[in-house]
This record gives sequence, C-alpha cells and structure tokens, in this order.
Amino acid sequence: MEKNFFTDLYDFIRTGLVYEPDSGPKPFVLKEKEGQQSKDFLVEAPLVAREMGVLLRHATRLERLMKQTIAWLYDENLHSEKLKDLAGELEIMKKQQGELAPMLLSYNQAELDEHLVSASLTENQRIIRNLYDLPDNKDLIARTFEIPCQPPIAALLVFMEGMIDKKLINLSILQPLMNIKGPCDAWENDLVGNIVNLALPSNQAKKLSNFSELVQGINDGDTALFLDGQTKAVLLETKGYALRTIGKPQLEQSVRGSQAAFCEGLRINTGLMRTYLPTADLVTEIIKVGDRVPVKCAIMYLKSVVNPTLVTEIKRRLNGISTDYIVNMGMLEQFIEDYPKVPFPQMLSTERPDRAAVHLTEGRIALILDGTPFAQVFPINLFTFLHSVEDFSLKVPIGTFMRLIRTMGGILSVILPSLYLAVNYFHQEAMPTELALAIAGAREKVPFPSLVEILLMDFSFELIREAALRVPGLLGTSIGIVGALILGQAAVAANIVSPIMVVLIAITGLASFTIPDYRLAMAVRVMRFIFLLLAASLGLVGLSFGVLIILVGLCSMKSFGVPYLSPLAPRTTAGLDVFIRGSVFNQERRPDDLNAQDERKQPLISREWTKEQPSGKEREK
Amino acid sequence: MSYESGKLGVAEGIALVFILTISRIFLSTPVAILDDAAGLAWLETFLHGVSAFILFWALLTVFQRFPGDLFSVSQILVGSFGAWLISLYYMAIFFINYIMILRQFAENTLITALPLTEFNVVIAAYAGVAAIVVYAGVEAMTRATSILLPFGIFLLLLVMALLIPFYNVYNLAPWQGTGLGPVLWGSTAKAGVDFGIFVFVILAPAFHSLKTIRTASLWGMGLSLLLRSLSMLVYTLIFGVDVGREKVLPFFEMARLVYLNRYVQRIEALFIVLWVLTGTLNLAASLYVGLYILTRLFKLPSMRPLIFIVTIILAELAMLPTDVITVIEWDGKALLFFDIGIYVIPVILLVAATIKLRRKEGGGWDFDSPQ
Repeated sequence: MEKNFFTDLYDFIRTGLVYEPDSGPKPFVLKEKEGQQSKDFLVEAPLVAREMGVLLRHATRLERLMKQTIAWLYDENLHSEKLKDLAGELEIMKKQQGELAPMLLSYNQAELDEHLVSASLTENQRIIRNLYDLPDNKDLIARTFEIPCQPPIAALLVFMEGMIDKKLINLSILQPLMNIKGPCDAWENDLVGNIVNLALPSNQAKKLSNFSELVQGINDGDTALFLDGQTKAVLLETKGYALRTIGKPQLEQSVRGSQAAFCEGLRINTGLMRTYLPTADLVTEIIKVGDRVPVKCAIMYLKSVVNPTLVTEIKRRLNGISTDYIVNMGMLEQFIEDYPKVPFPQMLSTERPDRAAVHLTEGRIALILDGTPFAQVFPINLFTFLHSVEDFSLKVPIGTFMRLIRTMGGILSVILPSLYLAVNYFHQEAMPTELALAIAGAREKVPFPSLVEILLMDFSFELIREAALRVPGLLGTSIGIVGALILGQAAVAANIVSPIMVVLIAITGLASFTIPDYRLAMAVRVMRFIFLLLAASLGLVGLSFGVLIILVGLCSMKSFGVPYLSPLAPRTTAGLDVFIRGSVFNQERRPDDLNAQDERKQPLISREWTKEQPSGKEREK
Repeated sequence: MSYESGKLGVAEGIALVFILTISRIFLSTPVAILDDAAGLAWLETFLHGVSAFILFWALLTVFQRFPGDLFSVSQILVGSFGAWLISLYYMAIFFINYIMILRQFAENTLITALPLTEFNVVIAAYAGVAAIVVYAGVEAMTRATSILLPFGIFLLLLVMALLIPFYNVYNLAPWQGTGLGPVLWGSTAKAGVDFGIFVFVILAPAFHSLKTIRTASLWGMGLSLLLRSLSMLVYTLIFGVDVGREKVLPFFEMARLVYLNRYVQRIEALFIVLWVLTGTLNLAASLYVGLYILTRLFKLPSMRPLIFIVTIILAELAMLPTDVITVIEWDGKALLFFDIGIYVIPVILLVAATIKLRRKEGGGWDFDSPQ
C-alpha cells in the first residue's frame, strides 16, 4: 500500500502504543569471562603435550631430510656439493637433538619470551609467530631469506614495521648478507660472530640467546637476525620511527634563553640533555615502568653532585610501581610522589632542557619518560614554581623584580576575590568611603549577592579558559574575544554583574597567568574557590583560617624528602635564588636543603679578574 | 643541612615561645597591667618577662646535667609521683590557657568582626582550625608560625609607627604612676603570662640541643618582651592611664585610631587577620603541649586520636562562663595559678637537682660540663 499521511499517522501511533522487537542484527554484548581462558595453547598445555609438539616438529624435519637423502641417493647426478649440504643439515639436526632436553626445560617457563633461541630456525620462527600473534598482527615482519654461501644458510629477519629504518635494513643487513659468496666453512666455529664482525656494517650489534631481550629490542625498533643452526641471534640497531624534531618551547617561552624543547623520543631527550651537560659526570639510568606494557624512563643526574640516597630512593619508587601501562609523566608522577591527593605540584615539569640542566647542576634529579616531551625535576620547593627560565637570562634587578611580580600575582590570584567579598560582606568600614559608594552605586542594579556575582564571573572565566584550551588553535583567540569582551560587556549591560566585578575577575585572571607553572596555577584556582566560601561565611576571619590551614599544610609537605617550603620553613641557608635573585657570581653554594655531595658551586671570588690589573696596565703596576 | 627530620630548630623554637607569649597583647591583659603599674606598665611587662626568663634559665642548668623532657627529669629528681604532679600541673595550665584564649578570642571576634555570627560557630571555628593545625604536627605548626612571625611583627610596628601623631609623652609622667612598689609586686604576680617559655623543657627532646633551646628562648622571649613592652608603652602614650584602664581590647583600640589619609583609615578590620592568626596558633600550641604531656604520661603511641575529643571538651569548658567579663576575671586568677609553674616548680627541681648531685658526687656540681 502506498504511504500517505494517514498511514504515517497510523504507523506513528502504532509504534508508540505497541512494542515491536527490533528486526535488525543483534547488538554486540561482551560476554562475561568464563574462568581463565588460555591465550596460547602451548603455554597452557600440559608439559607432555608441549614436549610432544617439539619432538614432532623435530621428527618432521628429520623425515623430510631422510626423504631428501633417499631422493638424492637415487639421483644419478649426485655430486659433492649436495653431499656437503646434506652433511650440514645433519649437523644442525644433531645439534638440535642435543639441545632438545634443555629446550624442553625452557618450555616449562610460563612466558614464551623467556625461551632460549633454538638452533632450529623453524622453532624460532614458531616462537616469534606465537609471541606476536602472526599472521594476524601486521606490524611484525618476519622475512626469511638465504645467505648464499657454501653451504647456504637459512636466515630469518624479524623487525617491527613503522619502527625501523627500511633503507638501513635493505642496504646494511639484507644486501651484505645476500652478497656473501664462497664457502663459510672457515666461519663454522663462530658463525654468528663472524657474520657480525665481517659482513654486517651495523653500528650496534648484540649477540643474544634469549627471546626476552630480543623481543624488547624488536619492540624498540631493532632488527633480530636468526640463523639456522645457531643458538644465538643478533640484534641490530635499525631504529627509525618517525619523531617530532626538536622544536621551540610552547609553554616556557623565553626571549633571551635557549629555544630548544624536549620532544617525545627518550633518547633524543637524553641526548639533548647531554648536549647541555657535556660531561662524563652526567649519568643516565634507564628503568622500565609498567608491567603489561613497560615504558622506558630515564633517570638523569650528576654523579659527583647529587645525594646518592635520593637516587636510590627514586629507583626504589620506580621499581615499586605495579601497573599495566603509564601513558605519560603526569601518571608516573602520581605513582611516585609523596602527596598525590594534594593539588600542589611536587615535581617541576619543564619542557626546556636548559632549565633541567641547571637544576641537575644544583644536585637535583631529572626524570624523562619515553613519549613525553617534559622532564620532571625533583626535589623541589614551592618557590621554584614561581621562577621562570627567563630569570637566568636577565640582569639581577630585572630578574628579582619579575619574581616579585609573579609572587604578588600568585598571592593576588588566591585572595583578591575573597578579600573583596570579606570586606564587602563583613568589614565595610575598611573601605575608603568613596570606594564603598562607588561599589554600592555599581551594584545597585545587580540582583545577585556579591558571592553569586563572583562565582558567576569566576566560573565563566574558567569556562572561557578551558574552552580556549580545548578548541583547535585557530578558534582559541576568537573564544577569548567572545568570552572576555562580548560576554563581559553584555553581562554588565544586562545587569547580571557589576563592572567592578569584571575588573576584579580580570585582575585575578591576569594575576593567575603570571604563575609560570601550569599545575601550580591550577592549584591556586582551586584554592581560590575554597577561600571564597570561607570569606563569604566568616569574612576576614574565615580568610585567615584558610591561609593558616594552607600554610600549615604546605609546611608539613615534603618533595622527595625535602621540605616543600624550604628554605623558608624550616629555615636553611637560602642562597640568592629564592625570592630575590642574586648575581650569578654571588650564588656560591648549592641549595642547602638538597644535601648535595659538593655544596659549593664556585669559590667565594669567582670573578678573579677583578683582583688583577686590567690589560695594558701591567707596566704601571 | 641545617634541619633534621622530626626536630625543631632555632626558628621553630622562637616561633613557639613567641606565639605562646605574645597573644595576650590582643586581649585585656595589658589593661590589667596598666591598672597595676600605670605609667610604668611597660616596665612591669618587661620585668615579669625577665623574672620568668631567669627562672627558666636556672631550670635549664638542671636539664644540662639531666637530659630529657620535664617528665623524665622530674622522675629522676622528685620521683614518679612528683613527676606526675608536675606534668599534670603543666598540662593543666596549657589547657586552661587554651580555654581562656579560646573564649576571649571568640568573644572579641564577635564584638569586632562578626557581630551577626552565632557564638557557637565562632568557638567551633577557632577550635576546629586549631585542631587541624595540631593534627598537622608540631613541625608544621611551628614552621607556619615562623613564616607568619615577621609579617606579624611588621604589622605591629606599623600600627605603632602610624600612631606617632597621637603620642603624648606627659602620659608617662611620674605623677601619673602608682610607684615602684606596685610595679615590682605586679611584675612578680603577672609572671604567669610568660608560662609559655617552659614549653622548651616540656618538649626538650624535640629540639636539636640545649644550645638550640638557649638561643631560641633568648630570641623568642626577648623579641616578645620587647614588642609587648613597646606596645604597652605606645598604649600608655596614646590613651594615658585613666582612659587606657577603661578599654577592653587595647590593640584594637590602637588600630582604630590610625588615620594616614582619606584612603588609609579604619584599618583595624585588616588587623583582624593578624590576631585571628595569632590567636589560633596560640590555641594550637597550647593544645599541642597539653596533649603532648597527656600522651607522655599515659605512654600513648600517638596524640592524634585525642585531638578532636580533647578539643570538644575544652571548647565546651570555654563556653561555660556566662559572659566575657567573667572570663577576664577568671583569666586574671589563672595567671596567679600559672605563677606556680614560673616560681615554685623550677625552684623545687633546682633544689632537688642540687641535693641529688651533692649526694652523688659529694660536692658541688659543674653546670658548664657537657651533657
């Protein structure tokens, strides 16, 4: 029947009144796990079955060899080369037979990657196939080929697509190996060693006998070379994955400082650090964190400066992490810091290698995680978060002034709205009469109390900030203009907020942007809302309570054993790099609270030329 | 490094004694002193601090030969029962101080800053925040105090400086005074105000060394004494004896007079921050020391479970007096009770130590020998 208005109406009513099961395909439902399922038959199968599998494969190979021998024996054109090949094959079989017992033992291991490299290429191929779920997994390439020497040697090249440099594999591994001519008899004693030494021009080559190391290498972008009849494989350096090049810092920009920033590659970042600190004293230790997907994490420090207990402690913490996967430094930080629930940051996060290098020379430790373009520096105190890399490049008065501005900005961004609210609600007498009248006049048409006004504006500001961060870069500026100018103006015109509130929130917002550290700025924002509620309920008394609790909380915190408010509380030798930045030649000592091995950075008089006669005045002397 | 984990240094010691002795500057105690000594109130303030300080230093000589805290040293010198009595006495004075300070600061907050707020809310707020501070531990408490200390001193001096136009030197004239006798008697009787200095012998093991205690007590008490005497002097200079005796909150009244220009006037509201911080830290310090003695006496593993229970009990006790005048009256009597801790107990311990050492060594004892 043709569809018309009445049929449509009928269908609509019918659909609404009568339930009809969906005639489409059944939706996907993830079934609940039914006990422990085996991932790999070989791993979970009983020992006998596994032994049988290995023996069976060995027998199959033996059978194939026997058939081939019989065929050759009947062949009239049998010549010495074929016999030599046969002898070679028999030798491999013998070796494999000899190793069957330990190989079977190795199968007792729970994990496939703990197996030893087998003399049988087929066996190695099978382990690789099982480990990487081939052929379903398309990332792993297992390329078989033959080294054309006498007798020819079957070989297997295993690498991860996308992680390697193809040109390197083609020209530096496959080409030299495929060009080996003539007899390999002379290499028989150490075939793998000779191939590495004489045929492969790779800059890094490691002979390995267990799969765990080989698999780690393959995952990192290296290539594994297996040779038939050899119980050792070769791991060749072929890393060549695409990485962002060293770019400019995005968050910690500097007018006069260095323009290099960390990128995602761990080794590039450690190398970058080494370019800033070209000394044998710089130690890079690499620890893998994460159980299911281990990620490499570099610990960098200056051996002769850092407190060794600190190094031991960070290694203890990193080794003590049990989790599947750590995606970035933010996650790792929560796993190792002392107070993960406190909003204040306890490690300095920097994208600048020059800044990290300076901290290393003071006796701190840098942590770099693979895939994260930031280094975490610790132990640290609160005041470091108010420092900027620019301070190192500016002259003393300017640097000090900038620091004081930032400190003032930090304080203002925490307490300015709550101070206004407290005075406005409870202590009007503290305001000059003209200002009180101006505020009263401006608020005359606003129907909300000041607290609502502030919360409204502050939340709007936070919304604008968050929106500008989340939208694509080009729209960010537009959102800022729409939010700050149009919305602010319209809100005042609509009598939702008073102009003085717009000014107040604008100053608070600007003040919060003077805090150089993003995470500290976030913590300050959270504090601001708490302070607002305290001020709204108890005025300046509430504000004082808030200040005291925060202060006591900060005083009780430690960043990797170092008090968070040092050198202020506890009082330690401050040096000239806390609030006031002294001249570089006056900063003779390392921070006292770090307990560095060598406390002195430079002698008391580091400008020794000031004690000498100026050039050209020697005669007058 | 100049600090050790779990230990209090000189800065922390200065902060602790300072906060325990300075807070009464914001309460009615200066008025009581003015009532005693009139134009020489500043001298009486100074002298009662000095007498407390002398006895404390005398007691330190005992601690030089018998290392430990007040309880353990008393145990050696006067036996377990005596040690219990002495410790219970000191616990009581710190708790009484807590009660008096809590009630007076709460009342003053209601009068000056939050007239419409419920009394219970203010008491609960002060007691709650002090409990949180104690919960953070003595290190955090004293460090926070040491950070706030310079700001507090600066603000106090600022008010005194801004009041220079109101100074009237004739208010200090001898004929306005009550004579030297009442001053000396008053300074002896009011020494209880400075009972806080004995915190060093109660928490002695928490400090680095006896030298730390000596330096901290000298600086902390010295600074506090100077500021209190100066404040008393300025108060007398401004209000004179007769008007000054009528005020309830001397410092608040001083701050109310500040007039720099039409933009800087009526700044007393901003000083609320200063005295709320001072009062709360004094409460926290008193509560901590009282709880420390309690924990020590009953050999408890931690004081933390006691903090909120004791806070509730003490806050309830602070609410018992019917009005602020009764509290001020009780506070005056409490100061006399505190005098036992200033004069009697140190003398007993000193005599006991001398007798014990003479019996042991058969002769005099050398105070300067190392521990």
